[in-house]
Amino acid sequence: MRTLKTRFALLGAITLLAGTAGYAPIAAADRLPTEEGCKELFNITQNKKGWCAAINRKKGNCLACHTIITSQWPKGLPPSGNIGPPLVGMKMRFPEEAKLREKIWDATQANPNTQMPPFGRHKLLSDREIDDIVAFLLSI
Amino acid sequence: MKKSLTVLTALGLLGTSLPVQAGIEEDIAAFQDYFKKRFPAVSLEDYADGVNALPQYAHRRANWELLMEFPPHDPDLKKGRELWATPFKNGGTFGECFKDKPPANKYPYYDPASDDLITVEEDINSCLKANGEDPIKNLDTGTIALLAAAFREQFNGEKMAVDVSHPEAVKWYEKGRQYYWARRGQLNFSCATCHVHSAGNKLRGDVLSAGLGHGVGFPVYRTKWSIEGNPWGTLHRRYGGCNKQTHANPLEPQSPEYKALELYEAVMNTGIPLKVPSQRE
Ligand code: HEC
Ligand code: HEC
Repeated sequence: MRTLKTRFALLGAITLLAGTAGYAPIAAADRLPTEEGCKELFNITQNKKGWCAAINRKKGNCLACHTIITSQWPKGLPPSGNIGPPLVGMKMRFPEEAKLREKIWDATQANPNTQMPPFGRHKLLSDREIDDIVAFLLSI
Repeated sequence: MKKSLTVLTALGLLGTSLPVQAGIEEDIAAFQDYFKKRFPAVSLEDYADGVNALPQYAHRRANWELLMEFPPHDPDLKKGRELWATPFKNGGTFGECFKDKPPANKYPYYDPASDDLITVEEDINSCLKANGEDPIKNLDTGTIALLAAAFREQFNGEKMAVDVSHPEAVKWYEKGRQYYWARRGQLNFSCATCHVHSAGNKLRGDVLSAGLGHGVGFPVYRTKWSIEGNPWGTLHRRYGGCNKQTHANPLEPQSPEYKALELYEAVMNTGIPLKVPSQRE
């Protein structure tokens, strides 16, 4: 019992340490919204709209397969999958915006064996939502 | 070098004298080799444990092993064994019906008399009918799963060795193979998308099991299903769940497509010893 308690205490200390040493504190307002949070937002920027369409399980559900590397990751968002590569450095990876758009519209064009669903071709996302997601990805 | 390797593999397979055609033998070797390369530390037998066998799941494995010390499926399994042994009103028993049937490691099998591919669940219902009893309607969960577990566990340790030598069996196999690899549904996923190409990867929080070993431990007792009130599931119940996940329409248990799929997966599992029942998350 005691060892268990000590272990928990240790774990707590480690988490605290990681929390203070590893990451710069982010004010809540600077964080991106969670899926729940997205529902309460009106008149938001295109980037935020893109983020919300990307994380919504009934829309992009991109987090099923990708993590998105951003310092504004909101607390309480469930862990993401790792079937696809982390979405990071998109501007460098996709200097041509059209290529990024095509990847999301229909990833099978560039890679017939891809696991990624053809979001545009199969109407999982509207043109508008894909534009928003592209804008968001190019902003991270 | 390459040549001698091929010869060796061929010899190895011939050595076990599998009742399968040359093309199918190659399919088995290719499927199993793929996973051997992807998960070098996992042995062929280990795949019976589903996702628990994969190194990517190691962090949850201890949990599973603890559960297995007092398996939550035990009381139900005892009930299943009793049901299996209880004589029908006419005095007949399941044991008598299954005396002339193949062992569980050879299911499903092609039956020329009825020109059909036969599963354990179907033979259970044929036995009930032949003895003047009502067949079981729910083929996803409940009594059918308990009876299938009680039959299949008698062959635990026997290696999967399904007979696909009959030309009609080959047709069923081909149908199953196509279903396995064809993309479907709004998400455009095939079974292979998740269980071959993404095996060991995470879909959100779920580690995806390897397609190799699918079915060897079925029926399963699943924590998720037990929360919903029906902990046991046949293999076809699981297929339905996976179809739903991909926004594709689930098919009926014992539909020709699912039977063909079961045959294809069973053939891929050639050589893996039966381990029934299983506990899953
Ligand atoms: C079921 C899995 C899955 C889902 C869901 C998914 N992806 Fe992917 N994605 C992949 C895989 C696998 C790759 C790598 C193979 C490829 O490029 O086709 C990939 C590649 C990508 C790439 C290229 C990355 C690079 O650096 O080359 C981008 C961009 C991308 N995905 C964006 C998205 C967005 C945006 C969404 C949601 C709208 C999404 N993905 C949803 C599986 C998925
Ligand atoms: C979107 C991804 C996805 C697709 C596509 C998919 N599955 Fe699954 N499957 C899962 C997940 C997640 C689980 C639960 C974790 C695990 O055991 O892999 C699972 C579990 C299973 C299991 C249980 C394995 C065990 O030992 O408990 C079987 C059998 C199975 N799937 C077969 C299939 C078949 C056959 C198809 C195609 C008709 C298919 N799956 C398509 C995601 C998928």
